[in-house]
Amino acid sequence: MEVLQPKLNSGKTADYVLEKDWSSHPLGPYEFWPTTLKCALNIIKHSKFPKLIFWGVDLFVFYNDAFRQSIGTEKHPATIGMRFDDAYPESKRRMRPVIEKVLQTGESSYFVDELVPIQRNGCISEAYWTFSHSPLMDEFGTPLGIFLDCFETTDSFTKTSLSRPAARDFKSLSDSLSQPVFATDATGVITYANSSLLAYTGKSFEELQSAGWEDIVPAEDLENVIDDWKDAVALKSSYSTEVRYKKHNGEIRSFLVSCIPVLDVNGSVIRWVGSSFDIQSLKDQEKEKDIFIGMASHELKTPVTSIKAYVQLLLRKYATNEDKLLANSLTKLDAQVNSLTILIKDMLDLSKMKTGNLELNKGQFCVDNIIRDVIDELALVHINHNFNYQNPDKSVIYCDKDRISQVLINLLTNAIKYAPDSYEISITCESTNDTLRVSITDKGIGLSKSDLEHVFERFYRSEGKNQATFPGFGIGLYIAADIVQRHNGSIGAESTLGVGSTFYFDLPISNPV
Amino acid sequence: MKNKHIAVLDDNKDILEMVKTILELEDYEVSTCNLLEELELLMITDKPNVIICDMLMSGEDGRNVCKTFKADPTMADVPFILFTAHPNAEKSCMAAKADFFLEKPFDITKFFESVSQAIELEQKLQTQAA
Repeated sequence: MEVLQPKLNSGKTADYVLEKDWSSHPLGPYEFWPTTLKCALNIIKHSKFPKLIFWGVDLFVFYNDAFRQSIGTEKHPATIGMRFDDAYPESKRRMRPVIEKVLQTGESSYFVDELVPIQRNGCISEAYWTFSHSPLMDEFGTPLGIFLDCFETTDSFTKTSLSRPAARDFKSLSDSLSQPVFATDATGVITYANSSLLAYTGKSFEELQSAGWEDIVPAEDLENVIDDWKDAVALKSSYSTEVRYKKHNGEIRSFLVSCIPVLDVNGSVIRWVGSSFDIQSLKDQEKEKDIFIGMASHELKTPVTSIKAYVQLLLRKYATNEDKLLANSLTKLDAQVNSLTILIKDMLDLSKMKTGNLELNKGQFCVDNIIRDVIDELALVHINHNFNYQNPDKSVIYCDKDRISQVLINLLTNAIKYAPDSYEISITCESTNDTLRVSITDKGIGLSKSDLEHVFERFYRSEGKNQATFPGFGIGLYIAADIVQRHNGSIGAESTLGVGSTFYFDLPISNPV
Repeated sequence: MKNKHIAVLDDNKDILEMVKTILELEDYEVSTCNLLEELELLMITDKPNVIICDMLMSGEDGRNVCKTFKADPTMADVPFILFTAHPNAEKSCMAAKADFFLEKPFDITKFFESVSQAIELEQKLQTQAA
């Protein structure tokens, strides 16, 4: 590009201004134009440096011959006298805020090697400019328009930066990655896309740059993406988020996108660099796993249904049989089938919780009845344990009765499991104005402080010398915590090693006194 | 008095055999159907007093079977029990106009309770019809 040595005769553009019929233009015929504008046009006319004028609130565009070289035939002479926004829609996003600021503050702008895309030669090209806007004022200091000195540096800039070995390495490195990589300027305009991103979107770099993220992100996700972006811009901090990208074949895949800001010496963001990791197959696998668990639990339940029915049938017949071994074995068998059923249910619940599909069937229930039912049920199986129910509470809770029963069962069986040498378990209710607390206390092995912190996490099992003797998935408390949270309640535990533990949950009371 | 006749539809033969065994011990007469067509034929040849039907069968949704039966005046008077290993299906089963719902695995005491409640309901429906 030979910007430095204009070949055109100076003044040709100015002649065009004079010859044009302005009668239907908002500015009116040339002879009625303000003197300031005419003077300004005269000043830029003969300059060998590219200059533009944006006049008035509409920012009507004028330029000199030196600038003509940078724009090609698409914009000349059509853009003379056009509104800036109509003449340069591709540059609007980058330039408009700068112009506004100059008009408002009266202070000139100055940018070096700044990317401002421009439409020319049939496409939007990535062009770099060194430019300065200065206000064009009347004698009272009122800004009437903008003077723009702008010098294209695309060639020298790309030669000095992208051709540098480091920059070349960066490009080769990012092109070698199968993950889409991009860079944007401080405002989010895409300034670089690696070959993977171009191949994925099936678009050229110019297309991505002009259409922006609207072309990559599905319309329904844009708002969220912009919100995340705004937060990161405000904090100038790197961020990571899940974003869906549109593929060239119409497919939409999820990516984990990580972005980091590149700061200048003053701490201002000059560009963002981001990479995207395709997590669609992970998500698909997760989904398949959940479907599998759903099917597996359904299939497992079918034989369990038969076993349970036959065992109960035999129990009916032989529970009072003289053969104690037979009667006892059947009772044990029945209890084991029940444990198996609970394990299968837990497994399914877990996969549902992860996918957010756990449904609640809420109604108004007296918590006292729920507790009594659960104790009766457990007392049948754990005949040696003493369930000491203190301070019964008649509060009514808006809840899923079965799920709250499940919380109680999980907490109680946990207490039974981890207190193998003690048969005393107490259940206590306490209510304040709007909250009911149910506590379950055992005299078991207790939990260390570090165990307490993790006890409601998935698959967490207290590590101790007796760990092997405590069977289970380690998901009972996780499920209990999840259910309580879904009821807008909270769950917690207190414990002393070797003394025992208290697990409690708080639930909001329906009609507080 | 003739023993009450119960029809069971399930795509799993083990479940059919199990249900038949426990019901017969309580002196019910039991017809097991592995296919919907068998149940449909039975409704014409030897109409049962109660129907027990699985919800999710290969190629057949028990809820649709229930809906169709309940929409047919010649069959609507037979109490319909839907049972399933699918969790949280009670709502959709009730929406399909099932009279009773049982989750698998079930407690046989609960199972017998539902069956005798269904028999009571059938008698009520018969009296109303008469």
